Amino acid sequence: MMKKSLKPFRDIIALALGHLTVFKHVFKRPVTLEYPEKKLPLNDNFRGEHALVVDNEGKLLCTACGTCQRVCPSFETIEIEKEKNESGKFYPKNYTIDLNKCIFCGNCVQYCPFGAIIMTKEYELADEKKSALKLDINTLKKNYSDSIIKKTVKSKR
Amino acid sequence: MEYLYFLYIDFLHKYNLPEFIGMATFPLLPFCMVAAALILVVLFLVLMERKVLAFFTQRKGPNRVGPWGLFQTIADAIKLLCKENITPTGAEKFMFNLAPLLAFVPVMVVWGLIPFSSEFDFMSYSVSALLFMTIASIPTLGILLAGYASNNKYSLIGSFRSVAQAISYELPLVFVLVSIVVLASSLNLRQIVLAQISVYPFCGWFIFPAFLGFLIFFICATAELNRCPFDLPEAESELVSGYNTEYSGMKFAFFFLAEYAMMFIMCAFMATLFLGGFLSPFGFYLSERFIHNDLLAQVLVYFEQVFWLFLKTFFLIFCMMLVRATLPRLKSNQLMGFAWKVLLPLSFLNLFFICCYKYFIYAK
Amino acid sequence: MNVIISSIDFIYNWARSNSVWPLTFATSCCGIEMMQTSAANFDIARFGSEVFRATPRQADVLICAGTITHKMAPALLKLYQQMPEPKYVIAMGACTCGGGMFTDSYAVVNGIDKIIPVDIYLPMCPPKPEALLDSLIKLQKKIRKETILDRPKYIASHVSDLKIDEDSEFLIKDSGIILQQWGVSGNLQEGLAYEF
Repeated sequence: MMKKSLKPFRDIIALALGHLTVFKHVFKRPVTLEYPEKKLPLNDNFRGEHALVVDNEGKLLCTACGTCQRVCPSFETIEIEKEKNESGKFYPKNYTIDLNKCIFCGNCVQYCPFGAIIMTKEYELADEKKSALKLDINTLKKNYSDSIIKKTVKSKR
Repeated sequence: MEYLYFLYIDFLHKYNLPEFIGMATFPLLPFCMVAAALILVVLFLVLMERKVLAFFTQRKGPNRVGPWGLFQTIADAIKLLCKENITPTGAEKFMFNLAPLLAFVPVMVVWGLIPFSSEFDFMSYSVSALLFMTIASIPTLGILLAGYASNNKYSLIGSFRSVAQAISYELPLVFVLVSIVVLASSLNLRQIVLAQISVYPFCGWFIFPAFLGFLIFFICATAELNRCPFDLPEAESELVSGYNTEYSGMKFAFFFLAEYAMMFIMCAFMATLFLGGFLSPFGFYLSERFIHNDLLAQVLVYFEQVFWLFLKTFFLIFCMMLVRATLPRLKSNQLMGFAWKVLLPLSFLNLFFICCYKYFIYAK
Repeated sequence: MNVIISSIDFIYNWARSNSVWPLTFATSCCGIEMMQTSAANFDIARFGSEVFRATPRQADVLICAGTITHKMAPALLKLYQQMPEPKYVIAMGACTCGGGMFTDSYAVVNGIDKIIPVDIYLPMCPPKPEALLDSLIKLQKKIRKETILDRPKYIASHVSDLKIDEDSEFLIKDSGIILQQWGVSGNLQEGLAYEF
């Protein structure tokens, strides 16, 4: 009986405490990150836009074996045009990754037997055109050189 | 006032304008000033709400548009004016267009009833407190009309809720007002403020005898304004956007403006009733004490009175924002039960207590 | 004349680009990232866009955050048509850009650009909150490039060629042929508004 009669008072105290807790936050500093000027440091294993690794001689490491295609969980995301060069080795004539379908799982990177494909730290991929999100081989090469300049990935060999 | 009138006529004479223009336009001038002031205040208030809510959640709030985000609301206003005005096919066109005006115009009228200083108020009647309550309840009609005319189930339910809420919360509100009227022995708002003058600074404010009444009034005012935690008419999770679901562009801007203007006016009314309105909390006016030029001090006192009223009003608005940032929305049945089972009996108790106080202590 | 138009354009574009009110339209997991964008760390309010409107009548941009299924497609089109001009669409996440990992699913629309015109495509699954803010900034840049003279062209380009049948709520083309049908069991029958 005693407890029930005290309930309104306890409620009022709880309400007041709640308001006090919220009010305290006025004096705290905002935690907001001023995004376009400052950016959060990314994790080492962050998976961003793809890039094809180019060696010192300007050649792709990719041999167009098609492993990435097979392990990709999305449907027809990676398309490779295979071709033989003079020495009888396969190389990709064209290599497209459709970002409209890619889910950035990183399977292609993990399963690549030659380490020929990596993921950079680029995540600002928004674009006005859908076709621009279909990365062809030149874009992928450029991504690699760009990210080496920005030092977001370590140069291989 | 007469002095101002002659100044105005002189000003017109400079530009070779006849006197009857001055006679005709002089009564309109205060209204234009009031309207401009109200819109400026509302523009500031919307920004303040966004900033303060941001600070409560440790965010930064709008800060990209102009310095400190000051032009954010101006951008919003221009954008809303530029937007396409949609009238749904099934809507009652006349009523659909009338509703935002009906919600907005009474707010403008009510704004003139607040006494800003001891000499200067736009409309002063012997029953202005009563008039305030009557006119302030008209926007509810606009909301009801908006819900009815939109031909949308969410709008209709939202407006029903709003009306039910307004009717239930108006009763305790008026009973608290009655207790204040008993204390001040007047329905004139300026007289109510002047009755709060006492020998000691801020001890005569009616918040001290009627603290319970102040709490009830604050809760009821929050409910009248459809603000959190009583924002059932605009409950986004259940009723899309309540009564203004179908309104776009400028008509929505009118509702928006009316809501925030009413919030400011309600808080100013509350400050007038409980916190001594335009009275200084120090018991004397700073400009009287520190400026030794008599004429200048007389003019500055009026500005200082306006300043004190605005300070108190913004304090109350800040409290409302604190409540909004803290509490979740009530259920519909809790809302009604709270009004009829808790607030109404408490307001009777408050009235009884105030009458006893007036009879035994205050009168002597 | 040019001076007048450019100054009007400046005010018009400044106002619109700085108060982009999004529509609350989160159909799946990208919605979580959208909530995070409006929360304290990334605070979309800095750009004046924290006013998430629940009704399309008051929204400027439709941030389509999440997979759009065939069942959801008419609702999306309806919401888009209910928005007043000028209106914009951000396709957030791989599912809305081009089907994502559900490209070969029988139930998912491969990209919302088959239903409504899209202004900004934002891939990744799901995009980081920063990426959404970046897409918002890109949208603001796009808005600032417009002129008031292009309004008719703009409005013409923002009309979907699909319609919703009033009785059955199916998507139909202007010719009136029903292109999407749902059986009683919810199975997809012949004829689609868009290929998948």
